Amino acid sequence: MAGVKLEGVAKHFKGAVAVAEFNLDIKDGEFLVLVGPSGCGKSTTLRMVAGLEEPTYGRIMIGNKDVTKLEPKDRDIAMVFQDYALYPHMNVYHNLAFGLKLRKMPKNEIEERVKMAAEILSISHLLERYPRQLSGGQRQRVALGRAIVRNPQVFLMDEPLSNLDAKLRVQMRAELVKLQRRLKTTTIYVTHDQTEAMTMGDRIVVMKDGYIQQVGTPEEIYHEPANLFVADFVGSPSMNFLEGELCTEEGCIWFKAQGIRVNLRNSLNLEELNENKVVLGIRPEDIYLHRPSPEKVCEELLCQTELIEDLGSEKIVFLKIEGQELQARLRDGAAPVTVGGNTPAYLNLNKVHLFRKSTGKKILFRGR
Amino acid sequence: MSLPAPEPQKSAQPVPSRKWPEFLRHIPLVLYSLIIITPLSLVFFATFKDLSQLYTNPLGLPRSWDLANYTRLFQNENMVVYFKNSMIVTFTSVFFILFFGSMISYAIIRMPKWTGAILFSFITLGMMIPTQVNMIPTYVFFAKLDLLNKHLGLIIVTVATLLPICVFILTGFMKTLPKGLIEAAMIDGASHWKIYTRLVLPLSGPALATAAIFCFVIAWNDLLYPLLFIKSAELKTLPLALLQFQGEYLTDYPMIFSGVVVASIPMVIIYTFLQKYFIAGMTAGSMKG
Repeated sequence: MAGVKLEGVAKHFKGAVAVAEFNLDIKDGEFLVLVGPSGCGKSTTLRMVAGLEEPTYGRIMIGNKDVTKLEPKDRDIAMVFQDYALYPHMNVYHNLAFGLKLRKMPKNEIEERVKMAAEILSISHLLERYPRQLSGGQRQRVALGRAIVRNPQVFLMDEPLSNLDAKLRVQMRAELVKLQRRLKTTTIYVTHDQTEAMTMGDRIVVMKDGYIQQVGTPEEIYHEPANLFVADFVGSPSMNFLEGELCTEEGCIWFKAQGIRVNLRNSLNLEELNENKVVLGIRPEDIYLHRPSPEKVCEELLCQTELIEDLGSEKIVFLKIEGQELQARLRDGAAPVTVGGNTPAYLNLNKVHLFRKSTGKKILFRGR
Repeated sequence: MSLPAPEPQKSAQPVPSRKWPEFLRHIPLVLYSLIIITPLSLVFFATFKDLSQLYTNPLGLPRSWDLANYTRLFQNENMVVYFKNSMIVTFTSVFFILFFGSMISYAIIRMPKWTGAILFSFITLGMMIPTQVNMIPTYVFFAKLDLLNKHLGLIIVTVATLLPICVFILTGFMKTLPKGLIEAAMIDGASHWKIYTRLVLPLSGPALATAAIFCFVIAWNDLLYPLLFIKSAELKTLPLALLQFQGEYLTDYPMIFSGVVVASIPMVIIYTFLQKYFIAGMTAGSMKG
């Protein structure tokens, strides 16, 4: 096993920047997830680690070895593709054994390894079948088997679950995490699905337009988003945003928008901030529709209830206040609210995020 | 509480019969089949007639199903030799066409986009140059290389002229192979040669069959280059040999037709075996898989 280090890695396609300077140190045995919308450069980054794309600049290290100029076969990596890329003219056994045969491994060792991988993935009964005779989930397992059978230093996975149906995806997600924990192989996983990223990764890299937006644990990414993009991208429903200004009144910092006044009850040097136009962000679960316990410091706003989405275990309540929309999440057991009426909404001030309107960067005002 | 009984469905409008339009659609196909089958049948029937019978009754059935023409063809003429010559030239040519063509096509699909496109255009340009244009220079060139009146010369020129068609068919097909498969093989540790032999060639079966049939038919029926290159009777190919039944004043049509029927047997056999792949190759890439 080995860690992976990307030093100033960039990829330009005919002048367009696909990946801008990418610096990251992935620890040995870590499960790292690259997440972002389409075209953010996550797959290109993965392909550069795989050796399928050559970086325009920078250096890629696997373990202590500089692999930047090496062919994919010499990097000791295995990759799982989005469409599985199983060899259609070979049965499952030969699909798994192909890489080992190319490395001229003795026949009995190949057999042993294939059997072991098949057992781990519960596909022993499928070894004689051809890819066309397998279901989506089974193909996915074979693709994983092809990766683990070689016992590589690094697993690279390019949206491997995106072709599965929702139920199977959740099941495979858990299995993949368990497998990675068992094998302790460094894994780089690419997805556009933030739920996958949050549930699978030891660390997450959020990307946009070729740039890293934030690197952190799922908790950090969710609770301490570095900018508006990350705050908006991670979480479902996404964070609520209110545009407004900051001002000082009665010795306190206030957030003011049209018809909305929120006492942030916090110290913040507005002169240092050098900008008073901000975006206030708060997650749906940090808006309460019933008076919370006194230890929670909250600000009350009077909102209109527009719609309630009942998801079974929780309800998403769509609120409107002075033309701006908010969503609140009510956990099971919360007292019911009715559509159409006015209802007080309590914003948990300990969970409020402030972002500069001009750059979208987070304003640190609570010393968190 | 019982549920209310469902309302009876209103009687559906009768679906208009599609028999007549379907029949109409078959008319062109039937006509086309007749255009193909009629002359073929006439040729086939003529092989059982003698010359006088052919002239007196060219369109009718033969008086008897006499195999005299076929017997004469194999007893009096060197038909077995010509057949063997045609087999040698055609099979060797087709083998090398597929061998080189598949390698060129693989190289084209693996090259950077523009380099591949330029090479592809350059090679397929060969399809647009009529054989007659190259005839004299090729003759002079091969004469200098001492390749005239040799099967080797005929094979080389056949491979060279048919290679563009093969590259055209194979490149079109190979481009439809999922890129992920090749990348997966690269990561599995396969070299270019292994990717070509273990992955691309086995998966290109339909296109190889299509190219094989195309080239086989053209090479087998070719008259121009054998006429130009081959002088010795023992080196003649079938189409060239059939020419000897055509005299200045008299043409032995029953013999020519018998020769044509015999000559077409390998093509029919090959097409029958490769038909499944041939159709798959012709339609490859036309639909999203």
